[in-house]
Amino acid sequence: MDGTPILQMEKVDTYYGSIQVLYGINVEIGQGELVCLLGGNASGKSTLLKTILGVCRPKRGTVKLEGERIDGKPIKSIVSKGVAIVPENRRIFPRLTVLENMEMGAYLRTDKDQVQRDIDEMLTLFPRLKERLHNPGITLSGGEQQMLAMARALLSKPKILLMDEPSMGLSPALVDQQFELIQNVNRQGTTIFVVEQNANMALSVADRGYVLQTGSIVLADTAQNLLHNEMMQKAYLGGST
Amino acid sequence: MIHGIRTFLYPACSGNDMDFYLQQLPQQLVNGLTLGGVYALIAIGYTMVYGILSMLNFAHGEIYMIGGFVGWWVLHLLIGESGPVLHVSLVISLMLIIAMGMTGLLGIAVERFAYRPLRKAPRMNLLLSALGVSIFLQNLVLHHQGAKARFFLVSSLIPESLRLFQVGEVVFSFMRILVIVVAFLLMTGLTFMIKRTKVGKAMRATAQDIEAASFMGIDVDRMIVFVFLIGSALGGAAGTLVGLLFTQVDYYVGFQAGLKGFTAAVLGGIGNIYGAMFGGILLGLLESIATTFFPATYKDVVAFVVLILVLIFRPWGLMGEKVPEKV
Amino acid sequence: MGPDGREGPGKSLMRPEIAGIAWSQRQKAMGFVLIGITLVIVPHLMPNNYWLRIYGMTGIYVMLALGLNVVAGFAGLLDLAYVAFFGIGGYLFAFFSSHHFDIHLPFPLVLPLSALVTMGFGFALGAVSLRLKGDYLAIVTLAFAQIFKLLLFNLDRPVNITGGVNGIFNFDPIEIFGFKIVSPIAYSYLIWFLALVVIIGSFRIKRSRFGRGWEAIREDELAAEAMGVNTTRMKLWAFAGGAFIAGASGTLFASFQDSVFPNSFDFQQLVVIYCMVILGGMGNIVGVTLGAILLSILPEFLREYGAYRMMFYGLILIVLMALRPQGLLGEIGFLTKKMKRPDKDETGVLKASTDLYYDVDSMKAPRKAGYSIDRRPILELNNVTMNFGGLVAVDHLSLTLREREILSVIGPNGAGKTTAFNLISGIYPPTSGKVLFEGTNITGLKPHQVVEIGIARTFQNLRLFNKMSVLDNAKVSQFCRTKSGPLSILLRLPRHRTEERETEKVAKEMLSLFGARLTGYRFDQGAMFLSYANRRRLEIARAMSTNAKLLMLDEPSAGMNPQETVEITEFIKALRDIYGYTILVIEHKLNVVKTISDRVIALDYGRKIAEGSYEEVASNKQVIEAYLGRKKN
Repeated sequence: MDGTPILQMEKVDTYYGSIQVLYGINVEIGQGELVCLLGGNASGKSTLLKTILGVCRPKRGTVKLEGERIDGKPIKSIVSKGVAIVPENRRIFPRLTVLENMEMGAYLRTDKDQVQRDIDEMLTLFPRLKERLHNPGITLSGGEQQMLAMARALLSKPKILLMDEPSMGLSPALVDQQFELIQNVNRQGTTIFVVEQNANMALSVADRGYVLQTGSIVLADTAQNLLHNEMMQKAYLGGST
Repeated sequence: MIHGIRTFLYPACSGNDMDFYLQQLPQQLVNGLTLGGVYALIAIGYTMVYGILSMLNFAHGEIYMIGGFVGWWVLHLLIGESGPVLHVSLVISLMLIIAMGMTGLLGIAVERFAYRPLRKAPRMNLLLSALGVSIFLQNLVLHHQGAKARFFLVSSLIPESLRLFQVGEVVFSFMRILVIVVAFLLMTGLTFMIKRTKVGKAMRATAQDIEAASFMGIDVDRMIVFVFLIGSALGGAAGTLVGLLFTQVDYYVGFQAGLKGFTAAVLGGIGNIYGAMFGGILLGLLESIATTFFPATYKDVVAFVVLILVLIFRPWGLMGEKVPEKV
Repeated sequence: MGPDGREGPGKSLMRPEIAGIAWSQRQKAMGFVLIGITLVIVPHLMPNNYWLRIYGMTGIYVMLALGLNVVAGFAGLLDLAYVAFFGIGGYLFAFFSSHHFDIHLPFPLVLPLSALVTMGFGFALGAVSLRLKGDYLAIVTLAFAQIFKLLLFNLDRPVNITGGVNGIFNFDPIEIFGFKIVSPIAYSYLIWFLALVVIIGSFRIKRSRFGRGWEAIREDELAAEAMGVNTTRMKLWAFAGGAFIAGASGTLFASFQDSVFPNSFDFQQLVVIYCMVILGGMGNIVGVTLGAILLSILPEFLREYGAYRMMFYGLILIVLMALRPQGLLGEIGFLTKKMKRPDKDETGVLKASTDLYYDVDSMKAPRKAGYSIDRRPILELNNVTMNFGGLVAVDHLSLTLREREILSVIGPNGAGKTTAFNLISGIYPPTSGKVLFEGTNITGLKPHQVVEIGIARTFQNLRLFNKMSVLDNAKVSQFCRTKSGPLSILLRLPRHRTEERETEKVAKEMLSLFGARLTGYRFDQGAMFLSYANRRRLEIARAMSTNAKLLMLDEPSAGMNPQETVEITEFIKALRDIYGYTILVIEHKLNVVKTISDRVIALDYGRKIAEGSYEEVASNKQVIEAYLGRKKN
């Protein structure tokens, strides 16, 4: 990791009302990395992503994008600075066509010609989408929706791509496909931060991983190390020891 | 007694029934399309707001009514002693533009002051607030303008020769044609905007999934304002058109028209803009045809009965999708 | 007495309470005498007939507002047709006591008769609108009101039923027990007497299973249904109750005015009544009464500003909703003393509630009875499948739960655990398969019926009745164990009183099992003010208060810290060991699962992938894979 990390979270505490959900989160993601955040239910994974995106405001701590503080800023501002998300269950716009969905991804961009070229590039990358260009999103199969959600997020040319539980609601075969896609996209240069329940799958493509348990990070290591770490099972599945 | 009831139900009955109805049909069709166009314009306002905020803008009917008053005022201004100061087409255009502008702004104000503070409140509160706005606006106009109707001096606007003309069996009135044409143009314009322009697509995206839209960087608050602007403006246009058509407007028209516009929106599938257009036209036709069979005073019942039936048996309307409730 | 000396459930339950303060019997009696004297004197204080009529109308408005308070305030149903019931009552009087149809029934008969007939219409409207929620309910009722008004205007041809736009007038003078009611003063006595009856009736109904059932529906209809409240029937009763009062008010009104015409029962009138209820605080009887009095009298002082009146009402609605939707007096109750909260110290910081008040050892727990296959099955799922239009959430699931067993259900997110709970508790029927309880087929029963049979559940995301007190939350659960109808409640018949005592006893008993956290001063605290852990505990106590045999706990320890988790774990064990409950638990913390379970089953993608003891299941490869995910190919 060289240069300013793309994303830095320092001592972040997030609350839902009066209940604390995140405790002293420290996360760092460097340019071009593929990092995953693991944890069981109620570990706080989604809240962490929401804190980065600006949906939740941390009570304490800072979130920095390329060194610039983004905590407390409105979602629109954070997105415009280069954070994109593939939300849980993908959430493509059901009655917008494939093309329109992609155009929404590029909503904040003003360079129309480049946007068109990027769309074409996406369509070459995902030929299935090209076939369905003018079909409404809801008619797409699960796998096609995955691709569309990814394409849409990438069209904003983000500095970092957040992914919220990409395996959720997918059949095992599609899960394989999804993570291959993630790996490919990362190889092309996009920094990706994946929140995932399926630890093995995520660790098999990631560079590094953090493990979250009831709001605190209990493990942080390279993916390889985590895969063979016996503590993983305990931390992941257990409650308070 | 039987005869009495028969006359009650079929006021137009005479002689050969079937012929009579067929004769009436083209006329009723035109009437129906005229009314339908108006209902569609009102319905769009309801459906757009519902689509994006999941709330029923109860006050929309009053906005329509105020549109009628603004239109009247402009007309009144532009008609001198010896007739209109400007050309007919210009007068009507100005009426529409100014009415739409002012009602659009009014819609934005209502959203800002009455609805935005309640974004996170329970739905019942929002509805009650909308009720309050409706009552407030209605009585504001009553207070300001009095209870008597205002008359549109249409006669000085259109030369005698053009007012009515006959094509075969059917009698057309200039105004009816105008209303149909304007309604059609506005709806086409709207369709173009939502399908082709970036902001229109963003609006649709926001209505379909407000959170995901925010993830795209779309300024959701601005979209909501936009929806109120357009929806209200269309309602205002409808108000002016109706004023021209029936030559009068009073403080109470909003209530009835609002309910009917809402019925049309629900009929087509609330939240669906094309549904609103379709529902509006369908309702207009239904109402028109019903007047052949029922006494005029009961024609409003058609809309209410349709509303009740749809909401009970098919609440997602004719073009909507059934949305299951998540536990 | 609980372990630390605080109040236990044994204390007298018959302390009469009015809206948050305990009044002694003597104070109550004095209050009534005072009110009685006031009502006798006030009419004579009115300067002239005009004000006397205002006084009378105010009484009618009080009744009207309280009637709306039943359907919209208690039950939370936005009934915009309410004013039509007022009209029906009025016109019925015109029909029954005038030359119009030449029927001349005596008033003591007409009043209850119209009220009952109107109530019938209320039931009808309720039946038609049952499935509608919120906005749609409002609009449909509004449409009905419009139709009603249209009928009033137009049903004077060919047969003159309603008198058209001019209405009907010149009614028979009324007489009660020989007293002629003709003068405004006499009317005032009659009206305000009846208003008082309605006020007292409102209080009685509010404090009964009906009132609690309605409030539960208002707070969370699904949860109410899941706690045994027959929501369908209660919603019908809400409409009917409001209609009854409105009908009676209408009859009085018609007699008082000696005329009825359509414009008295229009939308504007409805808005005025709504303003009264909202201003006073929905559900708050004293508030609504005061609101009605205020808004009846105020316009008289603003006479000059005639047209502004309705604008004012509109503005009231807007401003109230934006700034103070709970009305001037709120829901909590008038005259509530600002009680010092014992769980907050001087600086206002909440004291921790994790002190273990609860001493398991002292409960003399018998040895844990091991899993025995001889015990009879309490719950059986036979090949239950749930298909949500293509998405199979539960896939041919079969399981058997035996008496006094704790069975834990584990599995990753989306495995279908909560769906299985929903299927058992009746929230939706399975696509195929059967659910059996103690041998009886309960598949497809509605949730409140499932509760009656003996199964209760908690919700993963907590569905407490937030604005109701802790005690009331628990009392709601006794709804299906009690039978008193409106008559029993209003007349305070012995059956009702017995049931109320029993309800309170059971509720307090269940709450006291959690130590002092949910008892004592906590009984009257709103559920939303509790700490998170206490809310979770209340959720369980509430389920237990249904007299259930089988408890289904959905993530009972979610969000609890380690100390609280240990405590709840011990508690669940005690439920089985000491109190004999059979328990089905969804849990993620595997240490909890290990401690409490007799058996464990694991689900993945809606299918059962393992079953057995904790050790067997936790070491099962498939299970581990389900949680941690398959390794990539």
